[in-house]
Amino acid sequence: MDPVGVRRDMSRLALEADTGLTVCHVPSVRSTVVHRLVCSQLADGQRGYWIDARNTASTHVLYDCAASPRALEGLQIARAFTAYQHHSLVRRVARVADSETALLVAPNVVDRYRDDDLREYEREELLAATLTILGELGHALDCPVLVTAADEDAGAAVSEYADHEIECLETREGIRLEGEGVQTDGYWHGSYWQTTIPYWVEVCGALDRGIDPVVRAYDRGLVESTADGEAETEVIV
Amino acid sequence: MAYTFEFDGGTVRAWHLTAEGAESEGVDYTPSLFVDGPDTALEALAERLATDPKVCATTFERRYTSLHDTKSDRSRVLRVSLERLSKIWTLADEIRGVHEREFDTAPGTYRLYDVDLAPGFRYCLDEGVDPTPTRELRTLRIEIDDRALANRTLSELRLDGETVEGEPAEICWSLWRRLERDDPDVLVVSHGELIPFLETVASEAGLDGFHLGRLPGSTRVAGANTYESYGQTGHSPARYRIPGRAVIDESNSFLWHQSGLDGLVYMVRRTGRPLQEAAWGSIGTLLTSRQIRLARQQDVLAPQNKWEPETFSSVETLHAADRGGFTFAPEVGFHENVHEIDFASLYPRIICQHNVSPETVGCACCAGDDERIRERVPELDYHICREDGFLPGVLRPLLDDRAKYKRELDRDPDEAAERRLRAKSGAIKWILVSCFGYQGYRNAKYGRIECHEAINAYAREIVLRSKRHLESAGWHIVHGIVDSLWVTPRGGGDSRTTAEPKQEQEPEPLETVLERISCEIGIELEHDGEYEWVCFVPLRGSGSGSRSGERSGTGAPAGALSSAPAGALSSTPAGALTRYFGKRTGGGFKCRGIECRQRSTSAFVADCQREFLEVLDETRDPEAVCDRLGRRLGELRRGDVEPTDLVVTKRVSQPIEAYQQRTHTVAALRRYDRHGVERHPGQTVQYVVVDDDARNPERVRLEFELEFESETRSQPTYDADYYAARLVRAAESVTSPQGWDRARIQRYLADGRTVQLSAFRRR
Repeated sequence: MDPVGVRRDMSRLALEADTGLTVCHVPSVRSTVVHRLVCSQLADGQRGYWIDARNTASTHVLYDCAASPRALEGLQIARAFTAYQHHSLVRRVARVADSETALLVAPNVVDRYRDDDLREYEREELLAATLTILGELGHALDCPVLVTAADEDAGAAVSEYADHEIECLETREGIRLEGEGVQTDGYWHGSYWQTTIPYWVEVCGALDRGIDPVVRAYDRGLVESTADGEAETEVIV
Repeated sequence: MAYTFEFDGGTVRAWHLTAEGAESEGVDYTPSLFVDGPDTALEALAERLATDPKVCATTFERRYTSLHDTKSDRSRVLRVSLERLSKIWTLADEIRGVHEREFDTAPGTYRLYDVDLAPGFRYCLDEGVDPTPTRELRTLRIEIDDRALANRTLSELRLDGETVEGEPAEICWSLWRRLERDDPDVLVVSHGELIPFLETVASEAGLDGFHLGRLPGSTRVAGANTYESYGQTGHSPARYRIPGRAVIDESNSFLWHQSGLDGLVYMVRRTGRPLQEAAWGSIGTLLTSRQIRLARQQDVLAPQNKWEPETFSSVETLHAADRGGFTFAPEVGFHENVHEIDFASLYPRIICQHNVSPETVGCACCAGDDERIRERVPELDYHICREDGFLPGVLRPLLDDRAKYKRELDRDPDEAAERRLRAKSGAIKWILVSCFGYQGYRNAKYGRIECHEAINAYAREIVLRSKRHLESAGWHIVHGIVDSLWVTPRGGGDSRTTAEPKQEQEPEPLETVLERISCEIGIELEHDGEYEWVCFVPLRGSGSGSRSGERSGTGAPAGALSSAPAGALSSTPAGALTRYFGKRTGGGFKCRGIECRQRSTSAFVADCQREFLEVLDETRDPEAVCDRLGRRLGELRRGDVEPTDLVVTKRVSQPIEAYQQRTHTVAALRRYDRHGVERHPGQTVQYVVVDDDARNPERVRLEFELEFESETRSQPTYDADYYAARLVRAAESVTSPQGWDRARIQRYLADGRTVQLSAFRRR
């Protein structure tokens, strides 16, 4: 693939995904498919949150994929170096993400939960809580949540919680995405991933219409109000 | 004040040094851990724990749960006090693993503090005890051979370096008498396992009442364990306590090897960890202990796990932040008249000078108020709080001590004083070297990645400013890594800088430039060394056309080099950042990253490489080096080299079954196994390659097998081809800066031409 050609084509990419959790099965933890999707999805400066693990969020790759640096203006990234931090970031997103949020991504979402410093009893539950919150956030905010899994075990762990699954294949022709909501007739540089879900504001209007995502999350038993905490709300599962 | 402690149930036996020896005192002790969480959850937990027999009290207290919190109010936390210290971990697991789940709250509802503290350190912290020894300590060093311990045979022991031989009973008897007579405060043992082993041998030999401590008995306080740190596998052996004496396990003490008892005692004073726990602590552990102790003074708890994440930031900020220190790609080649200059303790000084600390970088109290903030971090949009930070408080006393010891050393102290000063200064150095990296370490209790990034940003700015000063004063930078620069007078001296414009003026004296830079930056730039010549070695396999120039970033992928200016030197091969060697003006060589510095290199190859350096120094001619290489290869092939000079030392990185390839290390491990000697990941293996093409275990012989084989005259001796290849590689490192790679060396040697006279000048 000639890099200039790829970059030009990148700008045409968009994500045709429903709200909720979408797992993308990628061939390696270094896969850059998520970078490309983010760049195309947030092309017009929309707000997105990237919860990073294993230093996937290479800014060099992001700049390479973006049509212009402006395209990344709405993206906020934070890196987790422990499972605890990863989980905390997911909770933090639950507090800060709002109707303007167009996309949440968490590449290699399982990886940190495999670290040695986790006690066995909390490993699964912490991951389950992370994935549940991410999925519910997708519904509450009406936005796609994209996570990646690079191996079978990770894929299986995430699939349980995912609303949608797509497969990222590396073929001789390039990278191809397969799955619901993804057109399979083109290869990466030619495919077209269209957002079909109107964003929350477009659906529900302004916040005073009464369906604040946090309220919705509360209704689903996701969010607990705390009086003395630093934050107004804290997600529990 | 006491200096060593044993824990039994709810009491502590604390040992105080007296003029003659030491006496003990039994003290009741109630350790505590802390729990943070939503109020209702904490109250439910307190109620639940009220019936737990391990727990003797629960109270609500106000503490800070992070350094960040010190900018706001203390949190209401639950203090849980226990009957026994040994139950802390059990209780911690129950709170998170049982109660949290039974209450049906989200995982992570309860955050635990003050859980993973070493017992003696915890006791001293809680009770305000300073465990620094109050008088000179008496030590006894006990050593045993690896194999003897593995085979559980006691026929020889070394006591303070003196060999004691005989029947096991006699040896134990001698040791016991020695303990009775000298009454040491500290036992320095070659292996921790020696403690249970000697007790068993003594009891089997019928020596009733034999004990290594000041009272009978010994306790295993931790099992052996293999761990991974910074990508390297390590092994920590089991640990033992004996009553009334601190144990230093030589096989498990970094600091003992680096700076001996004086360095350790210094660290006891600065960290609050009792001697035995300071001895087995890694540098990171010691730094953390000092932080925990100082944090405790501010009412900040020590978190068990790292929950606090970094803040969300824009791609632009992350891009600017996620760069490492500045490096100038070395100009490959032979450079004359080179000066090495460096910033003394650059990172810790940046921390102190710019008040970099987890709670000061991007603090909430100054956010949005440009009048109030102290300063902004260059390139990043982080601001720094004007109130004195925590981390500078951790490091400043260490920097001051080190400066003081250096000044005392300059005043020509007597030999004993000099040794002490060097030991203490060395111990501090390790902490200072680690403090920056530790900020970025994932499990650092008070580490924060934003601090790490801020420090890097300051360092880059400082180095770039220095570069501008040096260049405008007529100096040329041939290499630079983070805090060190190598410079030559521009135009003169340096034979490689043909691209520089002609008609250079004499450069300004280096000392004047250094003083100006130090003054402007506020951190001293020191003249570290002067070299007649220095060679920077090309990356192996780097041809011409590789990039050379400035670059920045440790974590950045190859694409990050795109900012490097395409200078006149862009056609030279890329230099390896940390492989160079040079001849000091006062005599002697400095080598970094080349074979003779690597412990996996055999003595023969290392000696030959040093010899090549001397030849290069005398002749400045790669051909002369090749001639010397030719002679040494001849000796090797004739079998004239002692196999003991060919011993290779390698670190075991994983258990034998995890190795995918049948490496020499695997072969060596199999042979150790045949002898019943255990080798764990993190330990080393030592072997000679005898037949590289043979079946796996036959490829090598262990060092101690050689002795036996030389006695019995059983061959084989060594694999000459294998070592010849190593030797050529070592020569290539020396000649490649001048363009002589392996192929050219081999062509030259194959020519069979008459060797130069210089090859015979020595030996």
